[in-house]
Amino acid sequence: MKHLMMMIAMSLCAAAEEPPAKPMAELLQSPATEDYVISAEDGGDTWQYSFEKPAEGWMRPEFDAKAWASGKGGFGRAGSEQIVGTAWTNQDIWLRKTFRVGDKPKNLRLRLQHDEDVRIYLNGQEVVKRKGHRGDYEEIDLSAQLPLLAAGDNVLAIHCHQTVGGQYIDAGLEAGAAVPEAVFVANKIWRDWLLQDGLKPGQACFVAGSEEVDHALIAKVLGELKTAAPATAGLDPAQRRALYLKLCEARRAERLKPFAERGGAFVFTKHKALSGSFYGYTEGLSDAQAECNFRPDSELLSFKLDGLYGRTESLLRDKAGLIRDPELSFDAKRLLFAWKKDLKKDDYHLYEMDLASRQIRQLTSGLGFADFEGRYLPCGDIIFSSSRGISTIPCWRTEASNMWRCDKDGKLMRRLGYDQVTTNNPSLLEDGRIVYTRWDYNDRGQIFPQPLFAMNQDGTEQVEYYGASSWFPTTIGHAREIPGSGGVLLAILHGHHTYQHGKLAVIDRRKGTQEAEGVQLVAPVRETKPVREDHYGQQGEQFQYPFPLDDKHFLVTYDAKGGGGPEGAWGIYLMDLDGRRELLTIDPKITCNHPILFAPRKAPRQQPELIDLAKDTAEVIMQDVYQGPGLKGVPRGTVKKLRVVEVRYRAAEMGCTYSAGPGGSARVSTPPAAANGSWDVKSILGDAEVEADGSARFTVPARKPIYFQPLDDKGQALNTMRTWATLMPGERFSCIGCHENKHQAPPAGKVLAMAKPAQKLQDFYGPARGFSFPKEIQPILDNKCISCHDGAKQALNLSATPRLAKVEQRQWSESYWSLLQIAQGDYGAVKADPDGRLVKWIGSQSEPDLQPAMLRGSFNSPLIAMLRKGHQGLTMTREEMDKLAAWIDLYVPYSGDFTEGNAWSDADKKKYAHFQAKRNYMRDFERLNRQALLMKKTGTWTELPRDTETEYDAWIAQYAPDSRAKFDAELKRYETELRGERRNLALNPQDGRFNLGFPKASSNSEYDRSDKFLASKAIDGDLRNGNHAAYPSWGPDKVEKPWLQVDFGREVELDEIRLLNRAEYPHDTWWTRGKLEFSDGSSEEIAIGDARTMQSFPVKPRRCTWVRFTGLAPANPKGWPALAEFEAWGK
Amino acid sequence: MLEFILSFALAGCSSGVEPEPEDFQAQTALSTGEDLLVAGAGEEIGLLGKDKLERLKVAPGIVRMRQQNGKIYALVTGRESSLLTLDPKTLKIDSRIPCGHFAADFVLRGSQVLLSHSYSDLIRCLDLAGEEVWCRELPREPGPLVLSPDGQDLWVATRLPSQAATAPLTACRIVRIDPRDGAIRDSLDLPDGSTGLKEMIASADGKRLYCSFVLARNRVPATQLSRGWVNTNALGIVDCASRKITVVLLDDIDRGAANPWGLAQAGGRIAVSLSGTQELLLIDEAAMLKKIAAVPEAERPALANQLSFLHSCSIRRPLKTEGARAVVAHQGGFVSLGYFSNSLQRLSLQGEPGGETRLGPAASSAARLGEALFHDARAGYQTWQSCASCHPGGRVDGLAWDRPYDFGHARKTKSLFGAHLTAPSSITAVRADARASSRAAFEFNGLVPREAQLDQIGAYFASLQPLPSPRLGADGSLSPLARRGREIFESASCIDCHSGELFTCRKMKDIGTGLGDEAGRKFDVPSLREVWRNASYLHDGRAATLESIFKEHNAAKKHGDAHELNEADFAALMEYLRSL
Repeated sequence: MKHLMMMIAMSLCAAAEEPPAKPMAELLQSPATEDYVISAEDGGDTWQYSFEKPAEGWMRPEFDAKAWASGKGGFGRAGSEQIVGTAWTNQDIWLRKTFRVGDKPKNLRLRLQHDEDVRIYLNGQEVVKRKGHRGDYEEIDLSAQLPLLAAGDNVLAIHCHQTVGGQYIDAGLEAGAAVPEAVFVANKIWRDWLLQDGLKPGQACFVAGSEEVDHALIAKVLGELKTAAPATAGLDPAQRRALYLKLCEARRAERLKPFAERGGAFVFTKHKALSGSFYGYTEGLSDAQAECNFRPDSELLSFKLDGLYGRTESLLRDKAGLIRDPELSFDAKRLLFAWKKDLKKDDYHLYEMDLASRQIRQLTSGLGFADFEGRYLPCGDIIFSSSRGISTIPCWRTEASNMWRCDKDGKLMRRLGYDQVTTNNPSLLEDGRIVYTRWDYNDRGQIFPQPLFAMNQDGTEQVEYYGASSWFPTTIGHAREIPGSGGVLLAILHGHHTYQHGKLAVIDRRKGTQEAEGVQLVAPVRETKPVREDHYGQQGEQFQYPFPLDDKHFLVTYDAKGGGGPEGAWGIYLMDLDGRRELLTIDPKITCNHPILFAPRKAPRQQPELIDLAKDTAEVIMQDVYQGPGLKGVPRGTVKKLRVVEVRYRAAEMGCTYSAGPGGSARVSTPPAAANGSWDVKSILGDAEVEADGSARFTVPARKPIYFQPLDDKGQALNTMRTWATLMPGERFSCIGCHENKHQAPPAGKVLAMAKPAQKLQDFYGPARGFSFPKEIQPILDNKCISCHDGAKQALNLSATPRLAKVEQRQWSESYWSLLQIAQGDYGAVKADPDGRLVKWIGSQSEPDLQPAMLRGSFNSPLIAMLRKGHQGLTMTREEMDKLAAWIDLYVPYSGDFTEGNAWSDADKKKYAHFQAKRNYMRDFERLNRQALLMKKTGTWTELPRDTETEYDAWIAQYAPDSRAKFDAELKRYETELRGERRNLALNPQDGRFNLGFPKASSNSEYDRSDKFLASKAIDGDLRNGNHAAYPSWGPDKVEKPWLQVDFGREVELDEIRLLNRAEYPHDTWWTRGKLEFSDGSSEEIAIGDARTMQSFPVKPRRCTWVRFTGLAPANPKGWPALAEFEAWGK
Repeated sequence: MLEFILSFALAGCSSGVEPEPEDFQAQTALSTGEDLLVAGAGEEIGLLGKDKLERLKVAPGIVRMRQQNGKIYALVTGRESSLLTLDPKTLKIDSRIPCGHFAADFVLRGSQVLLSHSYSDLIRCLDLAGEEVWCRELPREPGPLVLSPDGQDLWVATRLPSQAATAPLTACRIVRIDPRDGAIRDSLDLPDGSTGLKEMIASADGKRLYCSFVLARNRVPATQLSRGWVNTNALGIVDCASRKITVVLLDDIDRGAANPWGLAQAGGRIAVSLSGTQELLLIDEAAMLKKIAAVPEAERPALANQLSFLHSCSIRRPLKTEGARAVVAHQGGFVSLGYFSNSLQRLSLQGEPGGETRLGPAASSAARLGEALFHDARAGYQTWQSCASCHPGGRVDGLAWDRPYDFGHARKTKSLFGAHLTAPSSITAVRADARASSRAAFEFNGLVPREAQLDQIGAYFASLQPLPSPRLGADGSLSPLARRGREIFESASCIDCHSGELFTCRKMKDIGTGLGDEAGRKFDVPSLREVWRNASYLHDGRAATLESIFKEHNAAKKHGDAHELNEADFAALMEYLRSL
């Protein structure tokens, strides 16, 4: 154990004794510097510039730039937040500045602000390259480039390129040492005061002639302090500056009170932006299929007020990894966080630090599975976001994560969210519910619906919290409840294709739950207009991770100027709803984020668990389908049935189509339908009868994403629920009607459906299955239509002949092409019009807000009308018409599973099969956990029904047998663990360099430290031992006394050790004897043979927490002895 | 200091819990302008003037005080209620009018006293000598009274619904009575599910009445708590001229305003005491009326389902008082009385908190703490309801509920009197005992209860005292008819099942009342103690009266031998049951 803790300790920064802080006035005295090039912020310099692309070598000192214009820096669009000396509005700008150097300096620093991509040259040599934009000055140490400087004239040259949004470029170059952090922070605080008190960009203060400006600054502070104005007449600039500082400090003392009263401390992280092409994907999975956002270098810290200012203390630093999502236990003694230590060899997992000892324990594990955004529940369990659902979002190539729950040790995890796309940033409300951002676009455009959802701690009652049928806010993120407010949240509003930062708002459901009704932009409080904008809230000041302290004050990650690149270096502020703020901490290089008040807090309400894990069904009670706006205008009596549809998600991305419509446009991965058709595979679970009073009561499968369609007497959908519900086992979910307003309490009156038992869903012409055009629709066409519509007799070809859609990687039948009138579209893909000549459906890029009943669909499709009216004497059966109507109302899917109609390469098929096998594995893993939870209650191990997607079994068997075998073996091992059966206690395929969990193998010697010979390889379950290069093993170097130790992380009962030599003889050799030492102080000597097979060593049964294999004597000193596997059997 | 020892004893108080010594249990207050008089279950009236509290021993069980013609009138309730006339300066009792069984409220009209008797279901008019002028029966539990400014209309609100729980409408009523002869002029129904009505007041201009009640959502399955799916809390607004009732919810979308109790009005504000959440809701009356007027008349009934309707025209302030029942306008603000904390708190019209005054020690016995918990909606999820929402006073709400353990089958609310002695609990004996029932009820209400809390609830149940039936003589004796009924009870096999002190064999029996898929099902034999006040009857509450159990719902003739009785014997049996 000791070595393990050492490893952790090495990554911890020791808390050093700090000297007392220097007074602010002293810190503000900048260290001596010599300005070579003056940044705009410090007054600006005169540059030569060109908007035209100059000749080669323009950056070299000898280049003749006489023809270039000359102007004051910075360069950018007038009216921006930055100081613009010279207007620059086209795409590119080239800048040169000649500066003189006398004595060669010892240090060199560049101050750079850019929007966007920039390259900087010093005397012709590129020294800095930056992409994107940054809203404040980055301090870049160029001391290493000092040899480039020459005495006399030197040239700093810049090229900046603009693509979208704001544009700006400015730089300063200084001789002098890097500014100490305390000085940097002090200057930032000082600048922030000036900014808040109204100092204009570029305006001078506290200099001769700035009396008016200075007095205004002083008056501003006095206005807030409400103290009598001291005499300012006749003060010199230094005295005015001193007075302003004194007043600002007095004001700071006042403003800090709400924070100081609560202990004046918080924990926080330092890391770069987590997401990428859109806000939601932060997993950066080790087996990511495409986009992967992982920007390492991070730190976990605490901040404590020390007088008016504060000190930070590092809790954990990982330059190569990323630490995120801090969460404190209710007693503030433990710190939960997510940590990913390597791009490919690790994934985000939950860790917990005991703050007193700083010991860290790993809670969850598993390469290829990301667990993050953990939050404590009052009962001690943890809810978190996890990629363990194994699905790829429909509209891009990234993986989705949903809500999961595990126990305090990260064990027995079970899935709560079964969501189409990503859910993010859960937080607990005082009433016990979990509120989170749910991206939600079943059957509508994907850009705008990122509402808040809420669920109970057991996963029941997953319902909209705010804005599920809204354009605005585009995304509501980082929501946390204002203490004591009864559900009023502080959150950030941001865009879809943006990072997770934007404007700050209060969300008050009492005022309304859609668009801007309940949204109030704050800091300062101002008019809140509902706008429809993808990149919402990215201009100007930016907020992240608000942490409310009371109904007015909060901690927040903030940047006054914006500039949202991943490199942004934002600070943590104490702020109030009016926007009055005090900077608490900032790092010159990296953003300080996610402040969590470091104080014990009252746990939210613990909710009793009312679900029944033994069940696999739930019940829906609908009071009156006609209530609510979803069926507005539909006469009572029209609705005969409710159709229940399951949404099925893709396991991986393969090919794409492009959809477009009023809701936006998207690249649709692994398309199950033509463009603008269904995002996902749909399966009709069945229908439920609706009573005369509009009520219905029926059972549905639990733990599946389902949605409803009210059907008329012809089986036509009157509207469709363009979101989904997920019910937990045994849950009884009640709703009033079709998309009722959440401000509605259930009306009085008897509910007819309650007088009868819950209905079982009536099959839709057979058991539930993915709706397949070839299987459901083509037989109808073959039977009724093809005799005329063969493509020859009638141009409209309704035959089953396959035709390739290349970009989509699909083979669709001619009939599908014809009915949807599929035509060539953009990007080489094909398109289909949801308002087509024959078939009309609402369309996957429809508006995100509620659409009226009977808009499009089978109800209004000419094909259906024609067949109902009579076409060429055809007699259509009810079943045929029902299936045609259902196909249209499900948004014209082609594939009944994601492999149907594929045109994939063998590699593609293998990839899809692997991810599907991985999904099935996790479903079985989760089922085993539910069985174990049940066993805890009932004492017996009961098999629950499997819910793996068996339709892919044959596919997996054919294309990914290895994956499946690996997963099956792991499931087998896991089941013995859960059942507490005798097993190999040492086995842990997840162990490795980055694992802090158990079982854990360690050694004093691992050859070359290469991944092939790590101690962990002796417990990985891989029993192949014939090739030292191909099959990993524990391979010690030739050291005197090698040992291998396995820590179990708990007390186990051992009765047998098994060893498997690596046996690539004669390269390898073996140990002739060894010694087994146990944590209870006992040991046993063993004699080892040269066997190529597993050797067993029964030992006296004993309880221990670790076993060490040592005392090793190699048979042949020239050979390499190694262990392919070390097993420790017991319970 | 004036002291006055009362010569008669109180046979119990409406809460059913014996007051502890020094326990004020403040139930009512009267502002005399300068001073505030506070009274309740305890013997004393608190006289609060200029922050100084004097305690004057007057009478225990004062439920209402009114000031008229320079006198202070205090209604003392009990088996033998009386209306006291107090000297406004000394609070010495000048006179006493005997008022009969459990008077709930009174108003003075000239030389007459108009009284409501909750448990005898009567409205009576007495002259000041105590002689009855007229008497009118009025179902069920007539409570608060308001006399119109012109004295022409007496408005009465009933506390519980009187209909069968299975009736299309089960609701409390607002009744307009001619005070001259007791003739009923109008009977206005509150919405279906209204129950637990506590208070009614007139607006300052006398044009409207406001009443506070629980609006149960008992027709829908009680499976989830959010959005008031079980209980909501309402303010009824009666337009006296048009006799139209508008009901608005006091609840917010995620935060119920449980158990509205006292009402007061001053300075354009209506104060509603939220006894379940320990908050005062201050409604801007003009803004509320304007907001209601903006809703088309046809859509106004739907306001009874509209959460957060009052959000924009009200403020909700936390109180430091526990058991915030009565609220009274006093000296340009409001004063909230703490029934459990034995304290009062002042608030400005804007709800700014003012000073607190302690009247006595806060409730501390297990039974009283249990009673407080029973009435505390903060124990429940999103403060929609407390135990008392469905069990006002520990008894019944007159409704039937469809609860998860018997899903699809509504069951009438059971009285909790004697619950600790009549295990198994619940109508289908799903719960082994009252403690198991309490635990399940807490969990259902979104709380994981602590054992200590269940202990307290148990102590509260055990402390509940039976209320003497109005049919009993002053000495608690049965009337001759009831005595005859007792014989029939024994001879007609009633006693076979309704046996023992609490009249239950604690077994399940089939009396032919199961319907549909429950045909032949056995149900719990209920205790008959206090059966006279626990309507409606049978497992689903289909019988509004005791008579109808046998006359309308005994087709199978399996409910003892009641079907064989002649009318006289049957009447005697009913009289006996009403006396239990």
